[in-house]
Amino acid sequence: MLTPEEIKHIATLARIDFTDAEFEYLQREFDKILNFIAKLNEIETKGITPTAQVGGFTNSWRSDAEGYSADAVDRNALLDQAPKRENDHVKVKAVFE
Amino acid sequence: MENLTIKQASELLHKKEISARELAQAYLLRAEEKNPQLNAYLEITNKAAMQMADEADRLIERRDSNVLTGIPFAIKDNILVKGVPATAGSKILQNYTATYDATVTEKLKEAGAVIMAKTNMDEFAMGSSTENSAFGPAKNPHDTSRAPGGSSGGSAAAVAADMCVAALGSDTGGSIRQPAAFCGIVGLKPTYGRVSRSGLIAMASSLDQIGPMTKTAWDAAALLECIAGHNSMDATTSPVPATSYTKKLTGDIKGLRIGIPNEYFGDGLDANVEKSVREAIFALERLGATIGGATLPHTPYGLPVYYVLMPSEVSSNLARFDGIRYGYSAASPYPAGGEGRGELEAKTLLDVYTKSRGLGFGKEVKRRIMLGTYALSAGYYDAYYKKAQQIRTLIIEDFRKAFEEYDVLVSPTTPTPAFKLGEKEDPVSLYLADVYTVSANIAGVPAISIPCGTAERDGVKLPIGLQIMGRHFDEETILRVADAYERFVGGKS
Repeated sequence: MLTPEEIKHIATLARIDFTDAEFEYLQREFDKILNFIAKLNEIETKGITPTAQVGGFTNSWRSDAEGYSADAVDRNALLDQAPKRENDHVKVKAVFE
Repeated sequence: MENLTIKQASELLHKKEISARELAQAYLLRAEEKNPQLNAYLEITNKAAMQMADEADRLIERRDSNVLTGIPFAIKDNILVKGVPATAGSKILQNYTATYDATVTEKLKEAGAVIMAKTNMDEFAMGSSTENSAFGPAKNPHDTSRAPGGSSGGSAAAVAADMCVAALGSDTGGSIRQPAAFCGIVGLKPTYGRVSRSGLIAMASSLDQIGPMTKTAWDAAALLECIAGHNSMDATTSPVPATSYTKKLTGDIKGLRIGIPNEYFGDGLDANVEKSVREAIFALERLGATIGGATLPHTPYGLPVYYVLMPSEVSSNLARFDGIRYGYSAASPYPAGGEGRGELEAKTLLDVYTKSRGLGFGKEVKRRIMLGTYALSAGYYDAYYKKAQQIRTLIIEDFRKAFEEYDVLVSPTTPTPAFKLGEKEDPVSLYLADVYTVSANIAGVPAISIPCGTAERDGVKLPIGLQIMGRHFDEETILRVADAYERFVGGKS
């Protein structure tokens, strides 16, 4: 079972703010799910090649020009999605204090 | 203009018995009428739909049309339609409007289809009932106290209730097939790499696939034909050319070798579901197919593998929702994002991330991000992620061996018919709804669910789904079996 400190550490890594009640609930749920996943340990996997994706493709190339051209996407519409905008910039909190 | 299939509607349009405008009006009206009860749609795009219908009428007039021209479609809300909101069922994207078209949307538009609505879904496609939607659950049209399945539950409910002619869904662990089974429609998850994922809001990139949700196998074939194919915007799309799937629906399955994986008929399978599926298999035999027992020995490990790989990919894909570029932000709370959150106004950049994500994401999404972050964190990678990827190899191997002996594999789509809303409180018990569908995603093989009977619950006949799985890129054979079965039981044409 994961300790509350471990769960808090994962939350920091995941960049999610939880309330205390949510933490308690998470800890219980986590345990159930980890037990469920523990079934994987029944299988000896030494020497088996892992599969990352099934397509079997390696590198797939295309020229940049085939992508979305600059005028295919409305720059203003993109900027308008930002929660805070200043002129043509997305505004964020100070990175350094 | 009721209960039309793509094929029927297209015939009426091309015989000029109806116009695309009239068809769109009829479907929009029915959608407005039924949506308050079913909550299948998050957005009905009346105005854009009428414009597309008028354009479709012009295309038909000019004889520049095809079978999808003028057909009213609904699209799952995690698929982008330029200028239309795309929430993916999440509060964090409540104010987001798509700035470009997904490749599948583009293809539908090019075909002259009429996009009329965006469908309800579990938040970011995480769930099997649509109860995880931030905008309330969709309801099963056969019994509104029951779940339509999920995550493409809105699409399934909309097709079943004739609020559109057909729809698109997405399937990561069963999210097209399970709701199709619960609502009594056809749902096809294509081979991984068959349909472009560009413009699909990513959940688990090695598993996600967009696919048709329709009233018949023929319709699924027609829709797949439109959306399939290589696309330079998705590097995982295959160069294997798509084919004219509708032309392969001969109704003839004589001599086809059908395998029945015994692992799909074990504990937890509802007796009514088993009976209907066995009867369907008998029907396939009468159609001239050879039936035999198959084995996929690593089936019990499918869900545990899925619950490592999927959350890991989720934790990475959903890192983009950070309150900076789009969607809900704690730095600038909008009223709908959460009342009384003013005091939570973030003070630092880190606050913006953690509070935006803490308040913007729902419970199941946060749980999966946390699980994935844990599985990928230092010291645990080998024990979880790598191990799951190794067992993934074994599951793929199971399918490869089974397909040496058989052309398709047939099973139930779900262990039970539609469950009640609110019935599955425990997450693990809800996960089990995907026990028969998840392996096809892990192995990347195509699979279709078609209706194969009903089970009576509380005096209501609930649909049962038959799943047909095929070899990589062999959608034509599973569609041919589905179509042959439909013809046999006298379904719509």
